[in-house]
Amino acid sequence: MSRMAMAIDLAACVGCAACSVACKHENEVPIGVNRLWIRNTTIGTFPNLTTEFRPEQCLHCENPPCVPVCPTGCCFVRDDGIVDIEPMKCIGCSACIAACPYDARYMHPDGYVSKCDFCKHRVDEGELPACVTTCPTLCRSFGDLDDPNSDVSIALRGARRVDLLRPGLGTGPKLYYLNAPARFGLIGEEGQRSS
Amino acid sequence: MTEFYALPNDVHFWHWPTLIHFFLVAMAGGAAVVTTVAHFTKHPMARTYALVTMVLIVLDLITLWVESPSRFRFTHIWIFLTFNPAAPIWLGGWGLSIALVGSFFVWLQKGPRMLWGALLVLGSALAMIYPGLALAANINRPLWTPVVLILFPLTGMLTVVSIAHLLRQPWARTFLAPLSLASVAMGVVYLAGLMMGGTEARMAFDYLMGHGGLLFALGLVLMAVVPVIRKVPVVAALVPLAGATIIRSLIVEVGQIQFFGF
Repeated sequence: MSRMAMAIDLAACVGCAACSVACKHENEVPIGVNRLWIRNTTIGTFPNLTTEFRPEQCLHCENPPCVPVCPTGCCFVRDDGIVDIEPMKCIGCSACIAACPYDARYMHPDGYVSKCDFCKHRVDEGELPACVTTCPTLCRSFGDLDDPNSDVSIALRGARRVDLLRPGLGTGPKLYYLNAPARFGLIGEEGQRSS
Repeated sequence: MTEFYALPNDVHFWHWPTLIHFFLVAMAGGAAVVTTVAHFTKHPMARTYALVTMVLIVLDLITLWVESPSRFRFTHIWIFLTFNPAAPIWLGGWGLSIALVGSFFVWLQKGPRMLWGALLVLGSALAMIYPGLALAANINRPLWTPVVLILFPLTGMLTVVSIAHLLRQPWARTFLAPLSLASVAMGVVYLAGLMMGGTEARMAFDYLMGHGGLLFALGLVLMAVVPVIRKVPVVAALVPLAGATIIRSLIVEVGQIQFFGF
């Protein structure tokens, strides 16, 4: 058993969207939907402005709310902790889309729900997800949380600050945001409104 | 800017066919409840009610099939080949199917009465609670509060009783006003819960008011006036039917919003 996870250093992310392009290409994601997107937010009043480039995708939660609501069991958690979908069992009911607190899922034009799967086809071959290998600022770390020597564990230990998206929901995301530029953490969390 | 810099995937995942499904499943579930009561009380119309229930369930299942993006992949069979009782849609699928079987045998008037009655009790209960459960299960969507667990079965029964009143069923008049007023009360509780909730609940209340507040109020008024107008059968039937349908549709449609990251 392992717990595959990802960390993104927001202090290093420049919002170039290379990760998003690589994801589209690697996973043949249709036009109009995204497995990975960049939320670009600026808060404050000139000259005191803070800009955050925040890549978002499926967070592969420890307690994924999308899994129990699936009526066919096509949404499941793999042994390595990756939240996965079996398209041949999906009825396209969108219950998992409704349940996802992060809007990470979309309806594929072929009639099944899809989302980021940490490039499982690459991970199964011992490779890193496409977004990780593509990032020009090396802001992404990936690996097994249970392995103290994995890239993600090392990045988490070295971070000045670690944030999660919507931690109050108790989903236990396994996508960590490191070193958020705003002093209070991620923009848009806990009632913070972007401007 | 490219599409990579944007809000995530489509806010609305359920579209107008889903609203028709929510209307039909209320009718089908409510009709199954009426059939169950008629079956156990040996009501002379029990066979007719069973037939109506079957027609409504089949119509609802056809709607579900037509709206499904995977309709030609026939993956729906997996609902019946797997065991996922925590999934509201699994419960709803089984509930409608059980109610369909129960209604069929009640209509046939053959076999063990108690067994068909038990099937109807189980099927109608599942079909009635499933729509509200399918919404309330999503704690991330602030407009789908636990109140819909009561509001949806109430308004569902109200739609069926309204139709029964329209078709001059004598018993329907007895239940029309109490169900209407109970639905209005739960509608008010629903709004009050949002107004008195946390930051996200109040944002959701403002969003609802901005995207259908007047319609919501109209729905409540239409249900509230039933005690006054119930002497005119057609009006007394159509007015609460419209009110209940407006309230249900608004909650499903507008409630798909969540305020993550906005």
